[in-house]
Amino acid sequence: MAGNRKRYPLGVGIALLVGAMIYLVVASLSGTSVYYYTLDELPGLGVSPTEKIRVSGALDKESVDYDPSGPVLRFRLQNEDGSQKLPIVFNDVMPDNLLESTEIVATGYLRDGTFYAESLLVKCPSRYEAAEEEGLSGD
Amino acid sequence: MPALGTFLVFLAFVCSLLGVTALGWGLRRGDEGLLNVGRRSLHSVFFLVVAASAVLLYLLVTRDFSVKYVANYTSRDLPLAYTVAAFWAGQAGSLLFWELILALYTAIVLWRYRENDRYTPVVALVMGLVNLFFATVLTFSSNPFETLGFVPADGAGLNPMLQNMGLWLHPVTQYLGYVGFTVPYAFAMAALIQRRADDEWIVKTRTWTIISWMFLTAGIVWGGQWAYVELGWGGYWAWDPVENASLMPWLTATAFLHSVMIQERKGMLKVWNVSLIALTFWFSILGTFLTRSGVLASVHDFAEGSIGRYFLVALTAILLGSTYLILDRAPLLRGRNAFEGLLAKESSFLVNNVLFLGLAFATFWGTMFPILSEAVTGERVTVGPPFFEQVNGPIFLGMLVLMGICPLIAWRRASVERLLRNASLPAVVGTLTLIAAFAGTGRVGVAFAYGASLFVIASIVYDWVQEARVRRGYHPEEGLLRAAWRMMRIRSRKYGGYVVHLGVALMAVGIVASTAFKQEAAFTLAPGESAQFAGFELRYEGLMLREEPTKTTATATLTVLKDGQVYDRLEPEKVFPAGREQPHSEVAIARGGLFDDLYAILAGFEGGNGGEGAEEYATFKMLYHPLVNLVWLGFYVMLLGGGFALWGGLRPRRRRPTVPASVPKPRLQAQEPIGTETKGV
Repeated sequence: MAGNRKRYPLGVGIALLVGAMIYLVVASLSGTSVYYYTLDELPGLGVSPTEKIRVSGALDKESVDYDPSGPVLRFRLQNEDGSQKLPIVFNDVMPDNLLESTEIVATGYLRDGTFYAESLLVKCPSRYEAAEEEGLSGD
Repeated sequence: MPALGTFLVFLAFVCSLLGVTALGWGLRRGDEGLLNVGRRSLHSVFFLVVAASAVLLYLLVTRDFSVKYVANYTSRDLPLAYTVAAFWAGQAGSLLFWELILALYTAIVLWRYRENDRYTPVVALVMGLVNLFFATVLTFSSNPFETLGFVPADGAGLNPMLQNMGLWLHPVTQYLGYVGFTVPYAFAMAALIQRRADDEWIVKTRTWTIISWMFLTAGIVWGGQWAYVELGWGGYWAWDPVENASLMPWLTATAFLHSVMIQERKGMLKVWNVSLIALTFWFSILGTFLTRSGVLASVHDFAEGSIGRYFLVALTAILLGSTYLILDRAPLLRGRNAFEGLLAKESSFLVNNVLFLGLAFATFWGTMFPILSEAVTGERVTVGPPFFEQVNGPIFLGMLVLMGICPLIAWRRASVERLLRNASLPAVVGTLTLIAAFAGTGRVGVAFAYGASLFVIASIVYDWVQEARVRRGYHPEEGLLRAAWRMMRIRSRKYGGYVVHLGVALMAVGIVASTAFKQEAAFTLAPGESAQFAGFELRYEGLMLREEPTKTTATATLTVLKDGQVYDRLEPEKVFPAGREQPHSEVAIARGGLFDDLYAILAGFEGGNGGEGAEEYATFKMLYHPLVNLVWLGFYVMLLGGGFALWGGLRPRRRRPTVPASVPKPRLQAQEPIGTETKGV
């Protein structure tokens, strides 16, 4: 039947399309994936200064130093018990919610013990569950 | 009062349980009485949920801080509009809001299809199960009426970032969209359960599907717009997990809107269509879940939050149940036709579906990758915006090209010669645009995107003019414009779709231009100083500090000059709420051109109120987004197109629209007033 003969190229076309998309996903994954470390894991890993990585930790509030004229933002990330600290340099505007953050995820490069962040993801108590407990208990 | 709310929610839980049980049992035994009990129970769920919502609203508006939810999301100084909107600002409230919309939709469906045929009670049963799920979560895990045990003097207040018109637009439309897909899903599952292979479920739910799709589109775009004006990082889309979660059901729903046309016309792709709507519904629940839990922040949150466990069970149940039903009934759903040729509109719809599914899959994979990689290898690997841009960019481009080809090929079997003849003019327009864009910008990707977008617009206009001309052959008294308008009214679904496509093409140009040619710079200026940016001169005039009891606002004034003439004025602000560390930026946006935005953020300052001159300066982060307003314009065009497809059509006078809704309607779309093979006549 003519119909069957003509269905063939459609099936092949779809298969090619699906194959191309899978290739696109796989190829892009290897090029764009970024390893994600916590502060505890970082020492001794020997991350290359040219490899983009993500680091998460909590803000050491005392360390925040912001010079808006740069703008340059410097602060330290610390792990839960404060035993590991990592200085961060971020050449951009200070995120509004930095001081009230619970966790900060920085993406960038580690060079000579300082982390040069390209972007900061600041997690608040939560976008919606803001100010969960604070301000309530005392008064 | 809070106890009343808790009690009402509990009653809603009991009634949905009763309704589901009665409907299930009644269906099994064919017992009319039981079915009626089931329907009435579901009706009462609606009234109970409305009453519970009224109680929550009352508690919010009267600011009853003994209720944890009220204390967490409002405060005495919160304006009324945001106090009301606090209803859906937090987890428990937004789940009640979901259930409120669902109960409303359920009641509408029950009211519209009153008769106890073998079909409607099953629809009610499926919707009842979804109601039961949300009532369960509200009763046992996330109760908005939970009390604190003491009355704080004031509430914590609403996060200032949420205090924006966006809080009214985005969550409401997003939820109306998410919840809306429950209806076509329920009809599809009912058809499978009752072993029905016809298209009634599609015909009956078409309006629901399109409206839900429009709401979801609005939810996504308004969410982006909200982020753009409020979050102060100058973007509207960041491929953030929560954003992706809202995009996935949109992608599968859009695929569904296209592929049902093949089923209506040709009786094909039946299994595919029920799978798509099931996937869309699943993604809607997943989206609600991802938004409401912190899953993607860490795998470990997964097990901890109890609401997570409920959703996990529901998501698994929906997946397994739908898959079982689809596989079991697949033999019934064999299509009655085969694809007739590679070069036919049907094939282009198929390719369209493959591309949409590819987008949905890639987005899903990229979003879930951190969780999957940690589960498999123990190492967390994330992918960011570059992944999504690299993968989804080319697929979207392919979609645009396809969107341009589609109007030019006929249904069933089209000939190559005809396609070439039809395509020549639009293809020339597209190619010229491509060359001009490449010459002008030197960027291949941008040139292809512009070329493809113009190709879409040209091919739509071409097809439209062709059809208007054919019509003028029969109605020589009509002018071309009038004939085109008549054609549009007569074939409203087709042209509504075309208008949506025009909107998409506009949006594509806006997205590509505002991403590829974004300019960004930071300036620190003393009063009177100027800076050059994106062809404008920015002069810093000074800073005003305004102190109020609840907040201090710093407003900087920038005069925008173009060619030495005053062009506009920008007043970005920084607001410091009293007693909180977190300031809050109000960005200022000026039109930098017809569709361009000049966007200013006040990054920091010293001094103010014209104080000691030497000490005074302010730092601005400036962004320039060319053509970004085409994104919003394209969106409104899309809404217009969707609305036109639904309501813009001429009702043929001969057919009376008084046929009872239960009777399968004649398949209007398969026999349109004038032949479908009008291409190139």
